[in-house]
This record gives sequence, C-alpha cells and structure tokens, in this order.
Amino acid sequence: MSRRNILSLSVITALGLALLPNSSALSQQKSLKEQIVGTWTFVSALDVHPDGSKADRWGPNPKGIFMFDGTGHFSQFITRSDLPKFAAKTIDQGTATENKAVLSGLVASFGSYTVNEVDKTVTTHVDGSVFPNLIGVDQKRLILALTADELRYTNPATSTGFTAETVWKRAK
Amino acid sequence: MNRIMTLAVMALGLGIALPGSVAAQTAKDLVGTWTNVSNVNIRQDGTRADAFGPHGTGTAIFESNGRYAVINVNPDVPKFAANNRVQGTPAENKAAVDGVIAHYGTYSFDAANKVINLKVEGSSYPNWAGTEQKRTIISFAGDDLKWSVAASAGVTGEVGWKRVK
Repeated sequence: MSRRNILSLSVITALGLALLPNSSALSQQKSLKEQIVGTWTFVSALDVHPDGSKADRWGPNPKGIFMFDGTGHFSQFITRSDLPKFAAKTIDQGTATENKAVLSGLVASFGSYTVNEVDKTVTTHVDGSVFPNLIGVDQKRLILALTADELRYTNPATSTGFTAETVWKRAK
Repeated sequence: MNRIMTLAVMALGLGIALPGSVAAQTAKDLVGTWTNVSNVNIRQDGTRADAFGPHGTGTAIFESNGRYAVINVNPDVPKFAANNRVQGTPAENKAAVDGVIAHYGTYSFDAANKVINLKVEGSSYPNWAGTEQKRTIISFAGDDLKWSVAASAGVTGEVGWKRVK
C-alpha cells in the first residue's frame, strides 16, 4: 500500500468516525410507525371546502378514539356528543331521522393499516364500517405532525366528499 | 426475615406465578386485538341466528391503558347509491344501522366474576353512549375468548373472538 493510499484510508476512516455519532442518533430516532402505535383521542376535524373555507361537522364536545395496535390493526371512532337516543329504546327500531343522525354524526371503522415513512402517510384498509361504502377501501392520510402528544393529518378524500384536517391527542 | 418469607419474596421478584394463578385469565390476558369468529343471537325458545348475517365480522381492541373499542358489522349491507355517508336513503340508513354495533370507551376486567365491565363513551346505538355494560365471559383460554351479552329483550348474544397475532 502506497503512502498516498494509507493517507486516503486514514481520511476516510476519520470521516467515517466523525459521521458515526450522527448516524447512530438518526437510527435512534423513532419511525412514524413506532410513534403512531397506541391510543389517540379526538380533538377536532375540519372539512376543507374547495374555496378554502373550513367547517366543523362534529358539533360541541365531539368525542372519538383512534387505536393503532402493534400488529398493524386499527379501530377508529368519531362521534357527535348529541346523537339523539332512539325513542323506541331498541337498536333496530330507530326512526328515519334517528338513523340518519347516526350516519351523519358518527364514523366507526376497523381494519389494517400501513405507514409509509417516505411519503409520511398512514393508509388504513377498512374491513368493517358503519358506512358500508368504506368496506374494502384504502384511505390515505398525509401526516402533518406526529409527536409524543399529537397526531395531525389531512384526509384528502373523506366519506362526505371533502378534504379534512384532523387532530388527535395521545391518550394517557 | 424467615426462610419461607425470603423464598416468597424471591419468587415474586422473579415473576414466578404461584400454581393457583396459572389457569386464571387476568386483565393482562385480555389486552390486545381480537378478531370476531362468531356472533349468534339466541332467543328464549332456543333458536339461534347469526347476528350480522353469514359473513359477520368485527374486531375488539383492549388496550393496556384501559381503553377499548368493539365493532361488529354485517359486511353485506348494501352500499349507498350516492356514495356519501350523509346522503343515504331512509332504507340505506336503516340497513346500515341494523347491520352494525360499534362502541368504544373504557373497560375493567373483573377476573373473579368473569365479567368485562364497559363504560361506553360513544356508540352506533346512541342509547348506549354514557352507559355501563357487562360482557360475561363464557370461555377464555389462550387465544380464544367468548362472551355473552343481553342483546335485546329476550335475546342473548354469544360473541366469539380469536386473538390477532
């Protein structure tokens, strides 16, 4: 090995060592997939209309939960807190108005999910839903923020035909 | 400290289960994701029917932080012609509501009485929101769980689950 080669090798080694702390710090950073696992409670969801205006369809004190388990399964609920109780007090005897209020004021779905670290997206595959049209559908959400306490994403195609911006807080 | 006491403390420290507790299922065993394998309504005359049709499906998630979510659906409910959740016809809305039971909230597992106590926060059946409910364990071993629930007047539901790996 020539002197020049030895010198080059030394420089490369030195560079490599200098880079090591950075690369190990990077590898210790949690992936989106690792960070999303757990239970999230609903904060807000705003429909974004084509003209840019935003509308809240969930009313006062909305509730909800988004669970991402460690095996790639999810369950999601968002509900108005003022859904009218069925007067007949029987699950299959809702009036047309009562049934419509459920479909308008609640989403509930379950299935599997995947996270794309590069695109920063989480895609749910719906196996079951209150809204039958969602069954078998993939829903992609673009993650805007994912921290220890907050999950924020946009859903470019909601079940009401709008884009929505949704915020969740990690459940303690 | 006498020798027996020392051994007992050591056993606890090592996480060694005492023989009597081996068979009993604890709250920890319930934690996880379960997929629905059966959902049968049994009437007082003993007749049985699938609660959500021949292809009924569902999931139950019990988190270690005390939160749960359960959804059971009939996947054969007709899709809405308008393809919009808020634009179902009365018949479509009714079929959708009849073809699902979804609820979430917090839970506790009463192992001694073999009961899961649910505090419902939200549900596709609005009358359940804010109520406390019980699911009585029929069988619970390893990855198989079955509970019964008072489904409606005179009807008992038996719901079977398998743990998702």
